[in-house]
Amino acid sequence: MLDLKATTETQEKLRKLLQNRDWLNENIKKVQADYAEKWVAIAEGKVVATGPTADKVKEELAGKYSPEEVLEVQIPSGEIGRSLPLT
Amino acid sequence: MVRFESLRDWITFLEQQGDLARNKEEVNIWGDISAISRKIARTDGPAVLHENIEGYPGWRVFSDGLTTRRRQLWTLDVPAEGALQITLDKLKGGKPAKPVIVEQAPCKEIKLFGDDIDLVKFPIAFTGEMEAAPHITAGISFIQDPETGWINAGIRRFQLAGRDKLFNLVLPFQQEAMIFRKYQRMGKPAPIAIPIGIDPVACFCCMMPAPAQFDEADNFPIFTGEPLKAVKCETSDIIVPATSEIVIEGEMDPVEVELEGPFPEFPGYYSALRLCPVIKVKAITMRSNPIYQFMYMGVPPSEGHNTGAFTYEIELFRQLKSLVPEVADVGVLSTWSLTIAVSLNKSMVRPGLDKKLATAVKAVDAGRMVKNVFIVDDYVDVHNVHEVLWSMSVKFQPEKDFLMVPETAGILLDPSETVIGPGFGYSGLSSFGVFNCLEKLPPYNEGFKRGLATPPIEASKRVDENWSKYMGK
Repeated sequence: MLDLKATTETQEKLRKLLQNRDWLNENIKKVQADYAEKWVAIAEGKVVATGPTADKVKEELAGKYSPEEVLEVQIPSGEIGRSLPLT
Repeated sequence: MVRFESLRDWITFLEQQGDLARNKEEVNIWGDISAISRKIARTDGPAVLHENIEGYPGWRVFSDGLTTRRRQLWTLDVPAEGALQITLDKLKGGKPAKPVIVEQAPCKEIKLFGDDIDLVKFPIAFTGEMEAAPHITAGISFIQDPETGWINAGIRRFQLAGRDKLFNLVLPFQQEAMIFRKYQRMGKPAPIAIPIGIDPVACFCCMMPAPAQFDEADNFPIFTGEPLKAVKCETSDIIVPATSEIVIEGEMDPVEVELEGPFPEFPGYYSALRLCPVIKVKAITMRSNPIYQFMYMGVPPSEGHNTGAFTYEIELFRQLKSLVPEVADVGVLSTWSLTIAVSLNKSMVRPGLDKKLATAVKAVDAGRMVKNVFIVDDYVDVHNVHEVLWSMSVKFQPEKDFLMVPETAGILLDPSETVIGPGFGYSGLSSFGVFNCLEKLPPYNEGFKRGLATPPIEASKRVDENWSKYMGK
């Protein structure tokens, strides 16, 4: 039975994961300054692992965080592009 | 006659045909649903209805309804033999009509506003391992032109960003962008509606790359005989299919952008981190026991690629034929429409026709994504990659039969493109390759004068007429 009031563990886990992206959005300038071109893993409002490749970051995370807990992404250098140009 | 009023009718039909798997094993949103869909596409498997989603009690997730050509043709009620031409004939002879607005709609059984909106409670599944956040992948974007009233509909992906927030990758070449930029210039938010889980005919219509200012939903009666039943949204004048499972209503802010991506894009690679428009969700309406629809994206094949191939074949043929009457058939060979094959009526081939066709491909709306075009003779099956490659192997000389146009407008998502603009850029530039795989005209036709090596025509005709007998049926 569908219950839109109840919250499950999976949904809470996903909510936390989304907060990692929020944190990256708010701190992208600093993260770029520190980790441009590197892969980073973000969890609990901080960068928890970095490396030259996604696999290296995964190795560093092993045993500490599950893949569902971290946002793993390559940080671009320079100005971040927009999907549409400014009008 | 409307054969499928809803996604549910479609699911029932597929089950009756033995082409639906009802999965009662628990699956998760983190990768199971995506991996199952990918395997279905790679094995020509059945559509699937997942009935046990870990962490989402009461929800069901449907995918792969249109993955195979067999299921696509059931949707349109078209036989396999000559499917493209029959579909084109329907479109040519049929009359588009506006949807009929109804007051009572299944998609209004539940209405959520304000604090009751929480998209995290919907089983929005991840598609790729390195995806930043799950994306709605089978949502249809409905957006209305503020000047003309045109309602553009097209399948898009939307990144989940919070309980009431989505990101929308609006790209410059898309019709959605043409409309959104009008709102941007007016300094107004753009209302948008995203139905999920619509009937397969409406879904098919919305995936067709119709010309600008044409409402895709108007094609619905051509395939069903009756107009689409639609209902007005709660927060805007946009109308959406009444039998949708879920409808997300929101507004795209004209200025606000946030980091979006990475997402496993249709070329098979992840998108870059990019600043994209934000959708603030204003309402969600849905059935009381909704079925969420998922569509895998990433490395092909997939439901999206396969359906996109058919819809692009239809529109490319329609649009090219009007500019180049010598076109005999159009086939999408790979990756939505990045690589296509076009056959030309052999009796009408003349010097320079390949160049005319190449120009036309890039001129029509439906050709905006085409990067490679193989031009072949009309006896070559453009839907059969082996026949096209045979044509290339024996009729194409790279030195004189290849035309390359540099720096045409790209799609930003093809990882081989040159990106221009600051950072990851505003736009991509792609070269456009034209492979002339036609039998050559004099003075290069010596080798072709010896003729095609096939069985006698009369024997082949007899075989076609008596095929089932020869096969012991």
